[in-house]
Amino acid sequence: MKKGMMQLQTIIYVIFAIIILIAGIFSVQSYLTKLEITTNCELSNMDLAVMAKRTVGSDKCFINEERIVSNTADSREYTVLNFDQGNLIKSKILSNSDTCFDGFDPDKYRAKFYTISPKTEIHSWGNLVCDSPNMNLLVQIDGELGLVELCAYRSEIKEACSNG
Amino acid sequence: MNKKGMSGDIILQIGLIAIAGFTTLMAVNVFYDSVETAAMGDAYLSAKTMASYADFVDASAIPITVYHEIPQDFMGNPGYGTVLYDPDTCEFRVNKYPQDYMSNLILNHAWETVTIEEGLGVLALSKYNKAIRKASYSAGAKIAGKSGNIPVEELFEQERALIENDEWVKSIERQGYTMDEISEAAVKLEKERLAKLGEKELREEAAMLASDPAFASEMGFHWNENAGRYKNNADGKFMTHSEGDRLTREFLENRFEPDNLNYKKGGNKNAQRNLRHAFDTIGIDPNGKVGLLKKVPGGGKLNVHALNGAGKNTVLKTGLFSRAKRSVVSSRLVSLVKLPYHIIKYPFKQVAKNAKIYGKAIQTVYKKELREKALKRFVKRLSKSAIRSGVTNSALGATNKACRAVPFPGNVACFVGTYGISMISYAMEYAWTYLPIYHFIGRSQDATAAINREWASVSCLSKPDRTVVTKPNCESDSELDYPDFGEALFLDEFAEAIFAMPSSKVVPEIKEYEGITNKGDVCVDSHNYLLSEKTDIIGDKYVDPRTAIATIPFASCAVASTIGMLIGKSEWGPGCTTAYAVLYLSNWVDPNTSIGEDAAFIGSMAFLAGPAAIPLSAAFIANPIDSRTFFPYVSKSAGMIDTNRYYYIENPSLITISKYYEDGELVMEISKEL
Repeated sequence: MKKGMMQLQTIIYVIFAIIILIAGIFSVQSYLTKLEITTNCELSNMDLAVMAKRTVGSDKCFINEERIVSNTADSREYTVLNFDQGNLIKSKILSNSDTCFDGFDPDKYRAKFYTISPKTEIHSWGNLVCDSPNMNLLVQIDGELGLVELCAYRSEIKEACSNG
Repeated sequence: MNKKGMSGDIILQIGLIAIAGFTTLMAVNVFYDSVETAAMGDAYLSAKTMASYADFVDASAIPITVYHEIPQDFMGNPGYGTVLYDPDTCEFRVNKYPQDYMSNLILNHAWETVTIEEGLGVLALSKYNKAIRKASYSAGAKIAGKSGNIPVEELFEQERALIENDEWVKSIERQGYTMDEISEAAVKLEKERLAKLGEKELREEAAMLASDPAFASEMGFHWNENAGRYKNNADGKFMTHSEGDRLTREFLENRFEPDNLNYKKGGNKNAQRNLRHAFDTIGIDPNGKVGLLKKVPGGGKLNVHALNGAGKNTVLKTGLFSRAKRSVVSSRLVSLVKLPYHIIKYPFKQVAKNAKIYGKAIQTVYKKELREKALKRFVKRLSKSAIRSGVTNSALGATNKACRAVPFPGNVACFVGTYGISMISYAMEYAWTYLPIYHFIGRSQDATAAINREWASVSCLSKPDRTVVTKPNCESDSELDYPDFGEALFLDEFAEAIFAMPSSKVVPEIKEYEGITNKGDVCVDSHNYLLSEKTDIIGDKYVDPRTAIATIPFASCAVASTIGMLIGKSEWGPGCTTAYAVLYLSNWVDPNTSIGEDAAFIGSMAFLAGPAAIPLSAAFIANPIDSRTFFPYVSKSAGMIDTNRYYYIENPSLITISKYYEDGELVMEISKEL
């Protein structure tokens, strides 16, 4: 073997080893970054789910509260609260929206309430402009079929969510 | 291979190794990140999850319970050791370490070798948890084993007596006596006393002994309540008067035999009272008069024959006199022979005397309430500094006095010489005290910064009106089933403190939070006080503690030494470092120094440190540092956790967030289930 060939081989092996190592590092890094972005996307969805839960089933929002009072044999009185989840009261929608969505930034969220057939908007909360809603809730409004469209500001992670 | 080629090879190899090393470190770092995220999750994710669960629960119109299982690392530690909840803002604040571990980390990081940073963190945490568990089991077993059916007061009295006896025995032995000599003297005097004792007095003593249950059991009898007399354990017969007299004498004579005195390790605990009686018989008050014996030099035996016929009060005097006499004679002989040697040694003896006084005072003070390892080491370093500098200060003071008597220019040379010694002393203190302390403070701050990076905080969208907690102040449930102490509430609290929070501050009051209703009625504050105490130190926002505690005082001392040299007071330099050490020792080993004590310290500064007394005293007044606030101040961990704001859940494995009816209303509850 020519003089210096051995060193050259060693250098080449080491360079390849380093390239493989760096590729491995970047792939792990890429995985972690992707994981983080997806996590953020999911966390954003959790907030939207909380908004949906308040809309259809919170005692502080739009549903009707019924108090069922019972008496026992020894004349003790017990009160049990009964809620009809998903059956929204129109007057409460008009009056309780701000209280109901307390904690949500009106500039980053929007809730629109419709009655269906024909689709008529009865109320809107929030200033966010969005082309398509992130969540649709099929509900009853004063006993009629209704729809609630929820929208959240997610421009920074929209791509990550859609790809993710 | 020629010389030139070889050189090129070496450079190439070094370059390759450097590149390989760099990429390996990078790979390890990324790998660790991925493992940490996979194994322990992300603190932000956890905080956000809990906040969202709270939002869901708050939004629910019907009773609901959400179970949040905390991920564990591969060693079984909960992924989040600290979960804080602020009821006012519904904020969840999460850190992977429990508070006590954070505190330990900061304290130990200051002195110990750094673990390979985060890499070994999980292992260290596991080790910590195991150690705590082991210590808890051990403490619990110890308490349970000792208490048994014995009333609590008696248990503590036994412990106290044992400790006291140990101290007495050590004191006697330090003075050159053996306990066998004490035993011999006591037996002899007791026999003489009993020989003179009449039947009536003997029976009176027997009646007194009867109240001691050990007396009967050791004699092989037991008390019969119905008959009001002793019965023999072996044959069931009642004790006769003559038999009682004989046994009483036997008991009284034998009780001072070495085997019946409780001064040997593992000795009979029932016999500890005998040791007290032995001291009484000889006439020694172990807490008082024995101290006098310390001043008597030399060895020799306790002269029992000299005690013959002597009254109680003269026994000790006799012993003292004979020893003191021998000592004076021998010391005079030695003095005559070694007079020149003594003359030369005299100033050094004075120095040594001062050193002893300094040392004793400082050791006494610092033993008072130091428990933390890092604190002990810090104080030891300061103690040594104070002793070293105090000795040098005394020696230089004496030498400078002598220098003043020397005519010019000899006095100048003399002063320059003492200044040189002063600077050598200062250089020693710089290396042995300043640099380690400076380093120590820096490392503790690094640890605080590392812990601060682990915090994540998320607030709920909701604002629950009222949150119920199962235990006040977030006291964590112990995983251990520790013994039930029944009526002994003190032991219950003690055990709970040990089991649940090994180094947290125990407070008797229930800690209240606005917006939180406590369901429990027993409370210990599990917040770690080292992380919560606000230091309230003037200028701590602008001046780094390293500068305030180390750099400024040491620079002042150098200036004091130089100014002192100009007026023949070069002892101010070492005096200044002494003052510095004593000042900081006194400042935080006792959190409750009185104004008078403070004034005495400040007054003594001027004598020791000259003009440097001014900045030192100013620092002393401006920085009210004590043992509780010192470490939070230097490590910058003070106020890391606002204990008045946050409810603390420690080392949770399972947290439930639920909503249920209470008095016709829906309330939210947060509980650490496991």
